[in-house]
Amino acid sequence: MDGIKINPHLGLLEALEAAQLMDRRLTVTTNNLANVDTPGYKADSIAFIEVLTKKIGPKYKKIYKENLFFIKKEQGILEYTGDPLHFAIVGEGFFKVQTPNGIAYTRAGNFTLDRERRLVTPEGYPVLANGTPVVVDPGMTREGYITMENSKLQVSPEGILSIDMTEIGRLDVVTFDDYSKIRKLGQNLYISDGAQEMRAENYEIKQGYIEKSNVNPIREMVNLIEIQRTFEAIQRSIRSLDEETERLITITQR
Amino acid sequence: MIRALWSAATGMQGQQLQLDVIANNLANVNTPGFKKSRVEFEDLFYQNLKLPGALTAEGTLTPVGMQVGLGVRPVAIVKLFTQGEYQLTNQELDLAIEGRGFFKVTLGGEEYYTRAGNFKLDRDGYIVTADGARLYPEFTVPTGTVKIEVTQDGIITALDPNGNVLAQSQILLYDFPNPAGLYAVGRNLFKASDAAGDEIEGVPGQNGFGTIAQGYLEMSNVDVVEEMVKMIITQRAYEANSKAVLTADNLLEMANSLKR
Repeated sequence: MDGIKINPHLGLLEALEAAQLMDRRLTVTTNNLANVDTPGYKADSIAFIEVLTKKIGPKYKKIYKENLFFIKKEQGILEYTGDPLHFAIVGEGFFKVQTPNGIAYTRAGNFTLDRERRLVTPEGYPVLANGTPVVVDPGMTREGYITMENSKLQVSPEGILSIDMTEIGRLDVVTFDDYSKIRKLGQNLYISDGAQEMRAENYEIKQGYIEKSNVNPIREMVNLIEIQRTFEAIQRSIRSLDEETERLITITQR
Repeated sequence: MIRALWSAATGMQGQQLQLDVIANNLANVNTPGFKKSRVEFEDLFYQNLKLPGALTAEGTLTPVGMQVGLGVRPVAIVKLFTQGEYQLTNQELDLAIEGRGFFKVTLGGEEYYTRAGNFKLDRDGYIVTADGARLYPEFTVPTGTVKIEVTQDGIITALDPNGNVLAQSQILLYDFPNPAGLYAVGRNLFKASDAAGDEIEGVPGQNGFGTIAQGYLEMSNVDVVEEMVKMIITQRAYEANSKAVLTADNLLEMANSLKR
């Protein structure tokens, strides 16, 4: 049986690959830290999978690493803002919004009204209820929505919006069959990349609250330490591989 | 690593802006009619390193994609029009709005809106703000007036020493579909904007407009404890992002030292 021969250059390649992965992890960690205060933000994470026995030539085998990006679904903590136009989803699901480029999804419930009295995201994208933008009719809300106490706009835990006890629609709260097929778009939005949308079941809408970012700063700090130390180790191994090659060259020169 | 440096920089910039807003809120903790602001963030765009469903070297399809985010950006600084506390001043021209609505004032031919009801009289007997902006609709208090009365529904009456009515008028309130879209110009004044929508005129106490309380001032709606807590969070978030910058810098340094 053939043993696996190690080519020193392969070692260098391995180290390089590992260094690149650390770079990627650093970017992800940094982005998480930059978004510690972004409403509805879900932390990104990378998992490494080693894929064994990739043949390079007839004798050499290489271990190469696949990295899996995934979005942490953990619930973010709720912050009470007292604004009756702020909604938080406790549990699964996303709000559905209409952007100029099509339907998008968000967990950030810091909504406001635009001049047409539609419920919109801070970017001005209308929030959908029963597939249409929510219009808070001026006749019915002349009063309230300034504070939670005198708000005429109410939302039930299921997301049914009502003004003065009159139902005006149900917020579209949706989930997906395959979370690996949804993609972040920036602006606190997600889009589906082939994932099938379906009505969410296990959720509760809280009015007057915003779901905060689920980034855990302690975990990210530990990540930073780990990344730095791993990178350091990789750097050392590249150094020693380099020194070996140097020695090899000086021996042959004699 | 360069990506990480820039992402962390956006984080630091965002927190800096947050601190600016908190500082302004705290500076105005005693300003009548002041409404606090809040910064809202959103994640910046994402770089797609690999799309889900791409072909791997093994010939299989990747189950998930690879996206790296490039930081954060502030999307809005929102004014929060929650009710401020009332302060009893016993000044007859201190008017507080209990509920929705703004006073409209004119200054140099421009129209402004305010919730700061600390009005005064000017030399011609007009009711003006501390900056001299006239309350709209204009009302002159005739000479010989000793007492001014304002009812809850905004009827302002000037009375002489015998209790006879010298002049009477109606104070109107104004509102917007989206008050958060108003443009703050400072001096407790707001201007109408496209985002706020068209002004709606109304009589105090009717159609959902607030009522007027004479002898009271609406104070700032800034909550000091809340701002302090936000300041702590901001500082720590800033610190965390600076650590990320430091780590990226260390990694770059190590990478540079690979070459002897």
